[in-house]
Amino acid sequence: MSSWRLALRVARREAWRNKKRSALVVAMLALPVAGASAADTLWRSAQIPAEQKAAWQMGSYDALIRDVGEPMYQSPDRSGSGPVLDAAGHSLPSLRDSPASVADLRALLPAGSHVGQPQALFGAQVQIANGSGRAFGQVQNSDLADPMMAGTVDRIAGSAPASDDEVALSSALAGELHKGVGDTITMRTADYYTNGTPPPPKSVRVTGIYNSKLSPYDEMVFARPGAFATQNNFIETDFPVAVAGGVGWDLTQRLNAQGFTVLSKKLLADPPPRSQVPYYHVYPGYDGSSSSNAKLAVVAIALSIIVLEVVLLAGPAFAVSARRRRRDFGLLGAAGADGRRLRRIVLADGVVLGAAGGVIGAVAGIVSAAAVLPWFGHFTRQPLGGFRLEPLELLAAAALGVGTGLVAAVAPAITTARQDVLVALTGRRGQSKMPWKLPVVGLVGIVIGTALILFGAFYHGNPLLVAAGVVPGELGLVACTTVLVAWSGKLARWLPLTGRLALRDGARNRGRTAPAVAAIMAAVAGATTVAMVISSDDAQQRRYYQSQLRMGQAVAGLDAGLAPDAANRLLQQIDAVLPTREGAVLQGVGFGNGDGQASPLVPSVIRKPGNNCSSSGNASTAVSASDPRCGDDYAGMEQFTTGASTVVAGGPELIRVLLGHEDPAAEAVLKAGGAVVFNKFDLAGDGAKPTVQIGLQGTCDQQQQTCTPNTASATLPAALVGSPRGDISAVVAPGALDRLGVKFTPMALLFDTTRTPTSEEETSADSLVGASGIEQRFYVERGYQSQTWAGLLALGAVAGVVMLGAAAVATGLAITDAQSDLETLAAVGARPRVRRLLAGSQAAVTAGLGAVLGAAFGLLPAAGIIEAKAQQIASQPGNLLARQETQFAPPWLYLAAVVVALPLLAAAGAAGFTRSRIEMRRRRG
Amino acid sequence: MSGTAILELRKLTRTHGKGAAEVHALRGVDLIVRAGELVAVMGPSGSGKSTLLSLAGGLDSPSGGEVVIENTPLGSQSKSQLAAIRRRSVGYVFQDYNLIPALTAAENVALPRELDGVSARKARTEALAALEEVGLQAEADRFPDEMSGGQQQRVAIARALIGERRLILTDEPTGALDTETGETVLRLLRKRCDEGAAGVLVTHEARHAAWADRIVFIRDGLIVDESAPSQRAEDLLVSDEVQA
Repeated sequence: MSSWRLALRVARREAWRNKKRSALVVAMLALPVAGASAADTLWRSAQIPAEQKAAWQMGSYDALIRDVGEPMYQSPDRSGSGPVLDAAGHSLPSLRDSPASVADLRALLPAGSHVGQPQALFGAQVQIANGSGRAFGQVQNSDLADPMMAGTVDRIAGSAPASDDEVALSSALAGELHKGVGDTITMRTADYYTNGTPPPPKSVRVTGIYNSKLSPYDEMVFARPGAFATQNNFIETDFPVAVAGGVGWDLTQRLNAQGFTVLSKKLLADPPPRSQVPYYHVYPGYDGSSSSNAKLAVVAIALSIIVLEVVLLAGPAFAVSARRRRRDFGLLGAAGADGRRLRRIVLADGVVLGAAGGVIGAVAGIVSAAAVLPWFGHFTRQPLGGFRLEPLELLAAAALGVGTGLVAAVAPAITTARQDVLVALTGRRGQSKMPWKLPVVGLVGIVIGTALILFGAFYHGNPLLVAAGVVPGELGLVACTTVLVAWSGKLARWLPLTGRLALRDGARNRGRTAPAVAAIMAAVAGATTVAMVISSDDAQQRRYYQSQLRMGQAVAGLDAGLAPDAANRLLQQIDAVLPTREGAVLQGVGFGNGDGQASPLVPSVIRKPGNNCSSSGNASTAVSASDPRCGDDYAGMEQFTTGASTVVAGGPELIRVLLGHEDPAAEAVLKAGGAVVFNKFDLAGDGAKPTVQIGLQGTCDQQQQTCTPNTASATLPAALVGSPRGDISAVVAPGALDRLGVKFTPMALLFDTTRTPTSEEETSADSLVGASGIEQRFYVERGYQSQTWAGLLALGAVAGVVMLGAAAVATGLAITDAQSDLETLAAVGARPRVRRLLAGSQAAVTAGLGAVLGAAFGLLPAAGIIEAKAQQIASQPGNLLARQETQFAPPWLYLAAVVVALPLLAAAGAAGFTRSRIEMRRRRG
Repeated sequence: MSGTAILELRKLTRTHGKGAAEVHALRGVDLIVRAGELVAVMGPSGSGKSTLLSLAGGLDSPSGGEVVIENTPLGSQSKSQLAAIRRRSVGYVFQDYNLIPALTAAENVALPRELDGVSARKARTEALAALEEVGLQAEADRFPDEMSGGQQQRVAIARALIGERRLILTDEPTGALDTETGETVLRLLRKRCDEGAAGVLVTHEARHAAWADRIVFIRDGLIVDESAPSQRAEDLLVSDEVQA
């Protein structure tokens, strides 16, 4: 114990004597602590206690009860729920034909219970009155004037709506619309419409600005219950209830059996044991634990990587400090200190500086979190529980600083403990022997890692296995860095003087160079792996990008049920604002309302027996891949839907728009009431008068349990055009399938253009679409839009920060060490800028070595992950992506930036920030 | 001596520190060293010998007075010009060799030439010639920590001699060497002065000062005496052999 006290005293005084170096090390050690403390504080502050959350949701009420219509299981906090199943695993029949009323619910509750006005939340489209654009928001139906709902919203301005013609807006939506209290807006709810016209717009007056406590940043419209009629049966409606004694688990389960789910304050505060919750047994794995475990694992891995980087960056400082005090350690050795005691002194450096880093880092983290908290909520669009500190967790974060400092000091401590006392006293240095144990261990790690990567990629098709191989591989590389840096010195003879000096100096002083190179290498390798995967994914998507539209074409997807007149009117309006060559209405079969009505009649092309795909629709097998009768399923981006069938209806203009040119034969067939097909195998009869046979798919009941085949069919004259397009199998003339009872409805408006519309033209067309009550956005095909630049930029930034930081540390230490060499250079006539040149060369060597090694070793795991994903896809039957050729696309721009530009930047920065004047130490004589 | 004045020190003063910590390292020193002349500077520790040498080589700036090398006052030179003078005109030999450990012997010798922009290949050729002059051509590709002290000092001499240097400044060049090696080093220095260079040898050993044409004695920053050596070095060597 006394030797630890001595060691700590020595370390404390040494740290104070070398304030600049100590400050640098403390700053590095404080970094992960500050990050962990800030993250912990932000996370804790973001947590909303269950009781507070419940109050925000239901005010003074005891529970929110939701009508789901069928018997349900639920978790106590209603985060998970699922229908009760019968012995065969099917859902039970609905308990109600219409939504439950307040009276229905009151009958199930204890006497004296109070049921408030129902609350509903559903999507709506809010259009700015002048029609120049549109915004989207959600309508919250709730009675803001209900005193029991106080505490669920924050009133910013004005008052609650008092009639169905009044609404309140959230701050976010009011800001987007540039509207305030007293203004008028036009709203149209997103809704299904069955009579061919969208719901009429409604002008309402804004009476107040309110923010929901639970969703303070969302675009919301607050309206009185019933102010907006909707036929959407999928809107979730909650009944706030007040029950004497609260709503416990027994009452909840009774309500579950009657087709209601419950969110109860009482259950949030005191949930029942898991054994009493049937939901967890019927639906195991849905309790969210696996996803939170996965998140914890990601956080742990990220923190480990950060700690590793800090250890690698801080290590050289301890190494240099130990080397400078070599004579002091020699004196201690001569006075009787053994290796263990000497090791303890160096480790004490780590403890003292780590403790300082821990305290400073924790304080910095807390202060940073407090400063960004107001913006954190805006950034995450989540409400916050309020600034909160967890002392024990913060203490653990501070202890991380001590731990990191200790680990960083281990290698120098071992070296110091092993040094010869006489050599240390006489100051003879000599060349240190190359350590062999660590590189051997490193080599083993590289072999294991490479084996895992190759096995995971080529034999098991498991990206996780590949990722597991990255860990030993990268750690192995870090362990081998010392040897790699030493070997790099042999390349020095081809370099000019300052480069030669820098490379050889780095190779000779591996204690300070190797950790910095390793830190850069690890960061660049990780970033390169991710960059290559992103880049290859992007190349794959670019190569196989498939669109229903040609470049420059445009489409307005129509909501199901829009009448043909309205569709044609909209077509004309849009045609006037776009550079169109021609526009056409595409009609398809709708999916049905899902409101208990029978499924619509769905037409499909019937092929001759010999024309069917050989593997029964399994388009991804090797057999089907070579069979020309297979593989025309559309796997690209869907800009518009053809509805429930790939058979659509339209006139000759539709063919011209789809093909991009005239086709007299096809147009004539359509005019004659026939059909146009795109795949020769769809022809039922070829020869002089080709035909196509179109039948109807069987229909099933609402539970999809009883299906009846349909043998009706129609044979139409046909024309064959173009090549198979996957999304459309046939275009029939309108009315051609009337005798089968097929009902077509406008599904999309397609436009062939003379040039790609500008964004202003696109906005104008979109406004017209919105004014017609259609929710879908107007779309212009502009080809594949890569989104990778942001990711690659972020990766380059991460690699750059580590590279510049590590190079700065290594260069700073090297320049300090090089004082005598610099004096010699000055004495023999080196130009004044040589100090800067040397600093720049040191930085370039450190950064360049790390970047080259990291980039090279980052590509293998990336190739492994890409191959593993491809193998995984290939093993999934029916996965259309299996037909795609795997793309390996090195991110050249990123690699050029990381391997060339960043080291040059590091060199320029080091040269720029280094003093050019060489201080000559005064010699007595 | 009637040769051209290579080094002139005129009323040279150098003061370090301020107030109570002020130290007058040199207090108005006048000295001329001519071509072909080797001048020894002797004095006790702290007398200002090394300061005189630093000022003479342009490594430090005087507080007063002037340093002139080959009619060029150093005070009017910029840092770049001073560095150029050190690359081309002045050779410096330190007591503790001051070789750069990361460079080989040949690279250390070639250093002033490479710094002057000479190609690495040409500089190496010149360095090998200089190493041959000091008898170390075989060690050209060794690093300093692979050589003995004597070999290192000879490498440092070779570095000071490379090129057409007209002024050689040596600060206790034999301090860490055995007698025989020290004599070898001084013999090299003497030879270069005999060939026309001017040399300044700082030493505190009379036997080494005997190699010089002239000895100046410095104490407390002032030259207090000047004389020719009482015995030539060759004579001292003969005496030693006779005594042995």
